[in-house]
Amino acid sequence: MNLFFHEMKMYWKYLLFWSIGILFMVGAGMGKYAGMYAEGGQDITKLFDSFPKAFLAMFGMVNIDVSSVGGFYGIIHFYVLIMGIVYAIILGSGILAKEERDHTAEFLMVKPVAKGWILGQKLLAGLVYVFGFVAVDALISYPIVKQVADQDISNEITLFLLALTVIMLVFYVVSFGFSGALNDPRKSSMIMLSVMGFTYLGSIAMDLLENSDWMRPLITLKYFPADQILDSLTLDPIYLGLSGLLILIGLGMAFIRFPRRDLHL
Amino acid sequence: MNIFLFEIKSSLKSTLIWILMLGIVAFGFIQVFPAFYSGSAELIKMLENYPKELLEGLDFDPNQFFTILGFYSFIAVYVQVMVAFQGFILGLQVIGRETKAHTLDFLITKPVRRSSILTMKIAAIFTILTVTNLCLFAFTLLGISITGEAFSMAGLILVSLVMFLCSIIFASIGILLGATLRKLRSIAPYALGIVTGFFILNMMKGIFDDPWIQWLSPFQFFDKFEVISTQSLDPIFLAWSCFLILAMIGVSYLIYTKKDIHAL
Repeated sequence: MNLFFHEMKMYWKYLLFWSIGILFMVGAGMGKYAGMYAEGGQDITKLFDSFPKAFLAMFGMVNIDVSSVGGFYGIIHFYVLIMGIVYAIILGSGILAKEERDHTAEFLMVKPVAKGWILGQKLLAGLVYVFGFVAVDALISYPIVKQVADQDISNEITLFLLALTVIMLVFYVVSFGFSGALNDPRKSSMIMLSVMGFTYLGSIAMDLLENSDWMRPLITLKYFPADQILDSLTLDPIYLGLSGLLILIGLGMAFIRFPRRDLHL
Repeated sequence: MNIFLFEIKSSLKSTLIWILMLGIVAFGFIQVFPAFYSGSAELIKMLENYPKELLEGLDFDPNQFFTILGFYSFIAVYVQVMVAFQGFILGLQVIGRETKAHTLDFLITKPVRRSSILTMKIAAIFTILTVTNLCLFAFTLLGISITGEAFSMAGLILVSLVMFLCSIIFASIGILLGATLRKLRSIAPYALGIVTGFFILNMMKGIFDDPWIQWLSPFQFFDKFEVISTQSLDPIFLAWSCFLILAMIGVSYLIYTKKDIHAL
């Protein structure tokens, strides 16, 4: 368990900084909602309803009722999701690769433990921090939304948090898998960041184009879109399955490839 | 001159990849325009019935918006963020290369001044960024010409200039960081934190609309709609951008020429 606790100690400061980011985002965003839309936002919503999809995409509000608390929270949460993904990528591609990057792998690997054990401990420590990020988001979101909301939307928030958890897990585990499987593990973060960049651009393209649902399986950001969460109050089981599959692939890359490959020292 | 050539050579492959990606993204987004434009005639008519104040409140002029340049200036922000990433990563990578690989003590023992090392590195960065932005401009021009829409060349040049300035500003932030940091392990976390941070700030400008943010976030120095409709760059922010670039590079010189070098 030493390795697990060591990793836990290494990363709490980063989580602290990210928490400040979440606090700023949710706090300032919902504060604006209280000021802007709380009274008489209905007219604007009706106006937006008559616009074509591409036009609303420009303002990032496809199918979302911005004047409701849930819709507004959904828009803000999209950016929290992006932050979460970035956090997951940095965490996942760093926690294993840093040993090789900092030339400490040789010290770690001479210890009488199996490579699989090392992987497990590191994966676990990172998972705790992924859940930590979500927990911080939850601790900030529930009370702040309660302050400004006129109706109870805690079910919606719970679903948003679940969606955040699943997507973060996908990015975390796949980044972890890449840093385990690649011969040059330092490339993992750049690969995953490019993936994220293209996912983001893809999500914009999806909003711009009509009939673009076929793109959705490729674009993880859109697995659980805000409008669906708000409409149906469930997470789409197909995409939950797909996320599970991606997580398994990530785990496979790490646990099958890493114990076999040469270390890059 | 050796350092300059070395840096160009080291970044050649990644620069080509960046140019290709930027070209594809800019070109691809522009090709969305016909689909976007097709339904717009009725919409413009419809919008004319809405109160003027509302449209002004949204900072939105339908006649401007539904032209190819209006559309491009909206999607340009996604190209701009890529350009900003490239600038920042390049700045930090070129200046921080020795810090990262622990080879600064080898470079410093060569008979060149530290200031000329920095000058050559910065020259390499600016050369690469200029070439990239010229290529990007060519791709954009090609994409817009293919759609067959009429557009104002001056407007397109100005919007491209806004993006170029943005990439130079982020490169200067990277240069300053590269000169300052004593330890540099990986570049990605810095790039993500700084560029993504400013980008999210920009995307949420509808929500955080306080005027002081405009001074802080390089993505918001110039409103591209305004640039197109007035056909000019706001001189105050042009001066502010130049000041920022010069100040950051100046400070980098001060730090780089004086800093302690840690041998491994």
